[in-house]
Amino acid sequence: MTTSPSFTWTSDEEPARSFPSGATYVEALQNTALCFRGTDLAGAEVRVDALGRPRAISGNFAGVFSLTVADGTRYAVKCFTREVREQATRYRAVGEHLARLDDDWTVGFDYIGRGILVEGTWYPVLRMEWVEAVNLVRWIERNTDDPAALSHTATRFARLVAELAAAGVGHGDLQHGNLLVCSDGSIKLVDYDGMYVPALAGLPAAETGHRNYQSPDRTAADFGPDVDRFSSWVVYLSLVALATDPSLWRQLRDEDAEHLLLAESDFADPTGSFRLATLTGHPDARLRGLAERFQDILLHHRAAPPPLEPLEPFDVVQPVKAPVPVIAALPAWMAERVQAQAHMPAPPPLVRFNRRTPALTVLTWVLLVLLLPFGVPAAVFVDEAMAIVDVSAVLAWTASTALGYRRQPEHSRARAARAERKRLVRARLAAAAHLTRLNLEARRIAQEAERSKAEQQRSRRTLQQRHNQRLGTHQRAVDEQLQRIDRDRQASAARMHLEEQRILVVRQKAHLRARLALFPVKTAGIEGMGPVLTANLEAVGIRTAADFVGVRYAMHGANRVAFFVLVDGSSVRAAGIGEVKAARIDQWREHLTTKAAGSGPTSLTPAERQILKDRFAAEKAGLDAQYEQVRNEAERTTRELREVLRAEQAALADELKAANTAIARTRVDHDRAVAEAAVVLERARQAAAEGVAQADAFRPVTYLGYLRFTATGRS
Amino acid sequence: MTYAAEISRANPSCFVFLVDQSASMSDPIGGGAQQRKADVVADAINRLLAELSVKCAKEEGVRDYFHIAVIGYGHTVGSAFTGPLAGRDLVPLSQVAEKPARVEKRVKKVPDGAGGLVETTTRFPVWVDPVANGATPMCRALSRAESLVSDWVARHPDCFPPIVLNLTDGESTDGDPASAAWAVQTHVSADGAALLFNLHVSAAKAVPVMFPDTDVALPDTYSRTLFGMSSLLPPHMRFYAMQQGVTATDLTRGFVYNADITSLVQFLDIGTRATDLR
Ligand SMILES: Nc1ncnc2c1ncn2[C@@H]1O[C@H](COP(=O)(O)OP(=O)(O)OP(=O)(O)O)[C@@H](O)[C@H]1O
Repeated sequence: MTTSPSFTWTSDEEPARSFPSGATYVEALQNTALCFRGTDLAGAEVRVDALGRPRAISGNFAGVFSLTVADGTRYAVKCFTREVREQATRYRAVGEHLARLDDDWTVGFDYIGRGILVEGTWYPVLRMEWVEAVNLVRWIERNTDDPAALSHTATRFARLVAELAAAGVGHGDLQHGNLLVCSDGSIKLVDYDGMYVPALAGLPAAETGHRNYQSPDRTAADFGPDVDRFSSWVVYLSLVALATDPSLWRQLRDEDAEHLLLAESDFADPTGSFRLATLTGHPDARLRGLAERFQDILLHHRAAPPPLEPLEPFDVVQPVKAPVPVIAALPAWMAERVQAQAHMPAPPPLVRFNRRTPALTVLTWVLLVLLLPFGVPAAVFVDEAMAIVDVSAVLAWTASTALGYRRQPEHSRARAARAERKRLVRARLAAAAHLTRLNLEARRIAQEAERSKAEQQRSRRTLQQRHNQRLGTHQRAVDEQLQRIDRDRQASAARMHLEEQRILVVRQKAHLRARLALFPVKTAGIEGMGPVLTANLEAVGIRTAADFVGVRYAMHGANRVAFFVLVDGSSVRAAGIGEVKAARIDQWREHLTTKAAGSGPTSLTPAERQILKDRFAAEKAGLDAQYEQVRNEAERTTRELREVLRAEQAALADELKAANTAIARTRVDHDRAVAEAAVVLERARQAAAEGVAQADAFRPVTYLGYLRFTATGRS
Repeated sequence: MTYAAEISRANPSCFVFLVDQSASMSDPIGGGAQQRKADVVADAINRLLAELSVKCAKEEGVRDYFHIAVIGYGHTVGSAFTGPLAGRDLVPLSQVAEKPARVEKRVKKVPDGAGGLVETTTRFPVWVDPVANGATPMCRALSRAESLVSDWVARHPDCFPPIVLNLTDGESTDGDPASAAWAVQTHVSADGAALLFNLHVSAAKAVPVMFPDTDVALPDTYSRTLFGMSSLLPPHMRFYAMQQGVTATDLTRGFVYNADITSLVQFLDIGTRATDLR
């Protein structure tokens, strides 16, 4: 379907900016009349997914969409999700260069600077001819059981690499996603974002390629016609290996892995690479040689690999057509057997002796005829001399047949085959034992992980509990302090109240005295109180009702005598005032007192109260301040405790992380070891089975067999 | 080197989204917009899922580079998927891509490139509906994420570390989320510790903050707490962030305040190596 490729561009350099995401393009592409307004793609039909949304094929730098325009032409339109420096310049140069080539790997494109309108902004697109093809991994998946096709593709790939070199072009990102295999077996290269053409000399690379195809030493500075050397070795070696031994596809990579037979880790550590070791130790000499060459490159020329050295076009050893679909439907163990049978070559033909020594044959027959009827033991009784001759003859015969047997070329071949069988069977047993050991180890690792998990939960709990405890203790202490201050505040308030009462009483007393002082005894008109008695009272200091507070009586001889109780508490007698008069005077006072009390103060005046409050204010403020301070300090301490917790958590987190990292590493190493051991075992089984078959072919090659052969000529 | 593991179907990673579905999410987003926080967050999740599906789409369809869980927390803590995936936790991405609850037709006004606006309809897949109901048990949600993550790394010890993305208005009601947050980050694969990122939707301040490296511009303790519990961006994400115009430093955290977080997906590196790295 290749139309003649065209390579055009229209754009000026764009300034650095952020690019729309894949989903944003998907949104914009739902209206192609709008997003391609004014371009050739306006109104084109976009291929959609099951939800009716434009279907993207995403890479790390772009999304590619299939668009069909009115005349039926189908395009692959690449929308960029990341900025590529000097993109327009690069595409212009690439377009100009490719236009001069006549290679069939090229895919025509137009770089359109004002390509697609997304949320009001124009972005560039790359409009390419649509390539009807599948990427290399998917192609291999469909062809694992077709070594002829694989070797054909390997050869095609080598030719592609040579064409790139001849054209002075470096693709920059040779990898399965960019190598599309068409139904006619031709290979198309897509994704020219990182392509080198001579006009771009001096620029850095726009990208450094897929990790599973590039030298770990490659940097953006490596940008030239040699940029694909490393990746072409990776791809070519994988294809050759698969054409030689299809089971490697399953053995050396996980289903769905994003690489061919080798990956980043193999390049980073070639000596520790199981995959590389499997290839360099492969029974097939051509493959082994190629793998060793690549290993040498990894070890010594990783930064500057030599150009690809393709093998002479090679014949596929034995195109085995395994019944793949059947196997796929079978349970794993069954599939293995079926596959083992499918791949089991026909057993080699039996090896037989074919060099007979006539002298030995004669001797054998003579001995048989002479000795058999009597036998050596019988001869012993007949004649000693005869016996000696007999025995010597037998010994000589034995020696010469044994020698003859060992001289047979089949003998040494049989020995070698048997030794090899022994070695291979041993290797198989060792591989099985290793796998068993690893599987036991798995249990230990799982237990260890469980233990560590429980332990971690414990230490986390402990940490939290310790924090809760600290927080609890702290809160209790704070509560206590606050309660104490509260008590002090209440006590202070109570004291103020008492003081108020006290002052009130004083005020009331003063009032009473002042009122009572207004009533002189003189003018009281108390019955029987004449001027003399009044004067007598005055003589002891009692002029008004305020001057005494009560009367008490005492016996003086036989008489009851009245004493006046003065304000200061002392008692006095007034001449001439007996019990009765005293009582009357006191009644008068009592009466006045009751009247005066009614008009006395019942509370303090606001002014007085203010004075009192002022007196207590300082105390209250002090306590309030204390309360606030305790509360603030408590909050600070709580914060500090939380900080402590966080710090402890961070420290514990580091500890847990370290422990979990160790566990993860152990798991990774172990999983890898198990996977590798399983492959080793599988390959050892194959090898041992073959070794057994080889050795079995030498079944007739034994000493007895040789004797029979010597005697009868048949083996 | 950490955070450098290849994300592939053979060695997939996982995303755990935590969606705040508490009653407070029915409040408007603030800044005069009428949208509720719950709508914003549900939209963000649906966009992220669509974005991931596109990012992992190859020739033959969406690949299971990730397994995805969406855990809602509010009235309960559990799967927030609606439709055919309801009730499930970790779902392979290809199934997510295939099985939204529905595809809504949304009408939008977009620039027509000639200075005007034009109405256009887009198909918008919906996996998660807005919910606002109950308290905010963020700690429980985080510990749920923790157990998913810890299980995942046990099964995929070599994977790119799981990413937990929490979308919330920040007001945890079941304790200090910082403790639950650091616990998530103690689970590691051989390639590094699980990453915890946060999207904070809030009415407190309208100015969005994207991937900051300090909390000084953040308006309240909630946002500062969320910032503090977010993981640092690993180097290659920082690189892609810078390429997308985000100023990222060694201290930049996976935290976004009132802004679009879908760009996070663009910071992921699948397959091809990033320039200037490694
Ligand atoms: N012209 C085309 N025709 C058909 N399919 C194409 C075409 N170009 C690209 N594709 C498909 O789109 C995928 C992504 O394209 P491309 O590699 O150009 O994007 P990218 O983002 O640069 O990817 P990468 O991650 O490889 O750098 C390819 O792997 C291929 O399957």
